[in-house]
Amino acid sequence: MKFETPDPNQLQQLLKRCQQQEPKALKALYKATSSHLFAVLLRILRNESHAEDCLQQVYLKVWNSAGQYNADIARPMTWMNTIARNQALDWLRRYKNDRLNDSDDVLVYQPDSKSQTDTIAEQWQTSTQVHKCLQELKDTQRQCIELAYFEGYSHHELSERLEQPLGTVKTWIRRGLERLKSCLSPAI
Amino acid sequence: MSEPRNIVEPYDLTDPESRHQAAGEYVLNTLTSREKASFEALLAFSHDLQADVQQWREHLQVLDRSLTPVAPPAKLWKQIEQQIQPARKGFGLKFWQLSSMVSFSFALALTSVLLLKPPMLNSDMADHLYVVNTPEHKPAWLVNTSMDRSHLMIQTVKPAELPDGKICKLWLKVGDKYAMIGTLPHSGLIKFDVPQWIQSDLVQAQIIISIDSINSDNNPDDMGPVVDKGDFMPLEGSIRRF
Repeated sequence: MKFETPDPNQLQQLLKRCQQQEPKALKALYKATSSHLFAVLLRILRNESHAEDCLQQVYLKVWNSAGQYNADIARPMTWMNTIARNQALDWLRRYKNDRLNDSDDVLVYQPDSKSQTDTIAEQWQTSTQVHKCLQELKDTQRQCIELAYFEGYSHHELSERLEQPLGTVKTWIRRGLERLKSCLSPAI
Repeated sequence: MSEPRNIVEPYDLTDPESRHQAAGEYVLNTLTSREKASFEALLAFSHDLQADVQQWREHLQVLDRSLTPVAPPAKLWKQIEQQIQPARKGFGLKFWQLSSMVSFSFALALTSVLLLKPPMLNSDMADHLYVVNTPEHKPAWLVNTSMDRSHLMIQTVKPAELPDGKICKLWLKVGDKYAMIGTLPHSGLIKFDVPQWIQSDLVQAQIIISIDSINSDNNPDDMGPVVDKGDFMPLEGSIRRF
């Protein structure tokens, strides 16, 4: 299936119409953006069923807060991706807590194991278009940034997971961000 | 080439470069809770920092864009469609109920900003602030003047729940003249233009918040119930460059 990059101007117009509570505008917005947001949710949640539930919540949030979107502050996809990421990370934290509280049938978030849904999600997420700026990062820097961005890892959690001193992890992240910024700045 | 020495110290938020780096980690969500609290205290007032955060959000979009799009199942849109219809009518009438935690967070943030003690500014040039409160005297929005008085920045602290079709309007009153500035947001940050005729007297203007219907005219004679009003206060020592 071919996926097109959403046109920011078109998305802005659709968000304006969502502000006026036009269901057709939300439908068009969904058609243009849902495959991108679903990919983000799958990457974070690693579970198709939960990503579907979360995607519903994301579009309801977009529908209810379209009036707060400010084109002077953010691009439409940035705004929507931020909503999606925050929603998924909240979801993840909630399920992690539920799991700690001895719930039996919650989302099993297992970064070190390979459940069936993990494998499916990973297959979906095998990107063929890794941005050149991400490729410029050292593996350790990219790994830390991706784990923090997509899986909500703190410095301490990264330190434990990667079995590295806290200062090393902090350094990787800061240097990685600096490198990413210097690579991306001319393009933005 | 070997890596520079490992980092152990927290961010120094008084240093501009360090603030910019902290903005990256704020978006990445790796700041410690203490760093995050200090950072958010500054963020509430610093237009530059808000711009930094947004710039980092754009930068880090590269991670999202590197993912291969995946079409969700067709059934999903139907489920969303079913939910948006009742959602348009079913809002409750819980008016102006804000948590004490929000109030505490705001107080902590404001205290942190004031304790940073940046260089004092001429009071004519200082930021001016108005805190829109609920009837329970809890902060709902921060209204900040720009240094050149041409804009107002509205930062949502905790939006009030309003009945369907109702909005909060922000008015300014100078002498016996009124100007409707804009609709207060439910979340995030928004910038409003200040009409030219008010700009020179902006910090002396009275702020009025009314509840009106979404399609109501902006005629002050038809203004809905006023839920809050007051004056700007100078925030001397603000480091915001706006």
